[in-house]
Amino acid sequence: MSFWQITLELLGGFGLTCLLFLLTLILAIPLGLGISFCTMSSFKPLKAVSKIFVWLIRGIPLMLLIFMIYYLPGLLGLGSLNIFNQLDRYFTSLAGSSEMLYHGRFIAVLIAFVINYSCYFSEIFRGGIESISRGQYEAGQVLGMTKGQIFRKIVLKQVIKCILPPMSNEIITLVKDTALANAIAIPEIIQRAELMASGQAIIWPIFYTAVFYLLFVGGLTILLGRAEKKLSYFKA
Amino acid sequence: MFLEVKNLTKSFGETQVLQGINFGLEKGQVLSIIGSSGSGKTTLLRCINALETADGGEIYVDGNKIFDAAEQKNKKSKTKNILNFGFVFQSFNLFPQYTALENITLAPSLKIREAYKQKSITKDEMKEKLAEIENNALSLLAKVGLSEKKNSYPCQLSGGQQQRVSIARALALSPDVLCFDEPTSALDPEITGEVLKIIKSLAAENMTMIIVTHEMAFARDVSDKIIFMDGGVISAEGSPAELFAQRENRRLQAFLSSFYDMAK
Ligand SMILES: Nc1ncnc2c1ncn2[C@@H]1O[C@H](COP(=O)(O)OP(=O)(O)OP(=O)(O)O)[C@@H](O)[C@H]1O
Ligand SMILES: [Mg+2]
Repeated sequence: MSFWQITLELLGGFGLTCLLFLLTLILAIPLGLGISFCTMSSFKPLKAVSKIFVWLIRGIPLMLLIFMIYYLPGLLGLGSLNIFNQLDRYFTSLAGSSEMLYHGRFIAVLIAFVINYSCYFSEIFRGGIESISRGQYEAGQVLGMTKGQIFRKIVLKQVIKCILPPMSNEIITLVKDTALANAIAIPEIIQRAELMASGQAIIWPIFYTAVFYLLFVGGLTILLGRAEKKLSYFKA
Repeated sequence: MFLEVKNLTKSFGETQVLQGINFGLEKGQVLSIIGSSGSGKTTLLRCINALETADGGEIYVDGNKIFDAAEQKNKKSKTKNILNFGFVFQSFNLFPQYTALENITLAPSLKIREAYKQKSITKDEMKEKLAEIENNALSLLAKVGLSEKKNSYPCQLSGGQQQRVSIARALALSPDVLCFDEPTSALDPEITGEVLKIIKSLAAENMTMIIVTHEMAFARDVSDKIIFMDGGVISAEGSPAELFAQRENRRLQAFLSSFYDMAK
């Protein structure tokens, strides 16, 4: 295999990484916001349940969570076969592919990632929202602003400024956690490099994969750094 | 009476913080509220400004009932009386992401934009009103002596300057009554003067004001009327001369002498 063939093959795997990364972000941010509102709720049962949920999810290794999501429907007796494998087969026959596709398993991984990261995000959001002093809300209130206006025009930007550094950390961790999709045989970048190593005895692509991660994380770091800088004109 | 507060009560859990407060204030008058820590001064001001909901009592402005605790229990609309009052906080509470000018224009512009969205004004009217709001804000900044700071963010302003901006912000909505909760307590002693000067100039313009303060000399100079609060009730009230002459009120004397001791 030439360098370019290997690069292309790895790039295909990295595409999956990026897809998982993006979908997780898009879904986990709103869900995390929802969970953070639940954990701050004045309705005690909701608060308790959501806090226990966050504790459970944050306490379970993501790898284990992936397995749990993957096996859970089968355990609950939904379908004779693992429901995600059934999906795999369905998509494979739909596409008329000779190789087994991995759409079902990808969904299982995505669910695990979204649950895991929405819980982490929710704690960051809670910290950010709680860091805004009562005085900011009250100042808006005595100026006759509505609750929505206070949130959108006063609180939101301060919260974003406050959560950006911890969010940057989580986002970068998320990039690297995508490698865990390996656990249920999704052909992401590291899996492909590993196959080359075991199948064709080419070892160096394993090291080469690091370049992809480093470039991606580097780009993200610059982007997030810019956002932080943009908000540095005020002190919350 | 322009402002009338009738039998206002408020409890936090078991402790009754306001035990039936009654007072009135004529338009253009300045009322100072003094009293020891925990006597309920802030709570009274917050109830008047709807930051807390009083358990009992009524508030009238210009003959209109703007608050009635009895009605409050049935419906949840708390914001009704808000715009009759302006509130200046001890800790300023400027919005950090906005410049001094934007802090002042934010709330009034939002109201105009809302009116445009509701289609009660045309786009041209909106633009005209927004320009008006900006001009008004600029003249308010000039009034508090901060014209050259209009583009500064709160973190670039001293405490005294921040408090002056927050006074301008409250004035921008032209409230009937402007309330201050210890406006200089968070400031270094040498800059309290700049804020007190602004308040005095407002008094000279016949702005109706309620001021909670620990600055006795200031209260004496600026007030038409002073209320001494003690344990959730009004223990003494009157013009500055009357109040400071009430020798028989032990609590008041003890409170006042603690200030003279501090001054020595
Ligand atoms: N949100 C609250 N919950 C419970 N208790 C409160 C609350 N706000 C005030 N209190 C209590 O009510 C009493 C009166 O408080 P308040 O802040 O009105 O006093 P104050 O006269 O403004 O005192 P200071 O001069 O220290 O500002 C205090 O005993 C205080 O502990
Ligand atoms: Mg107080």
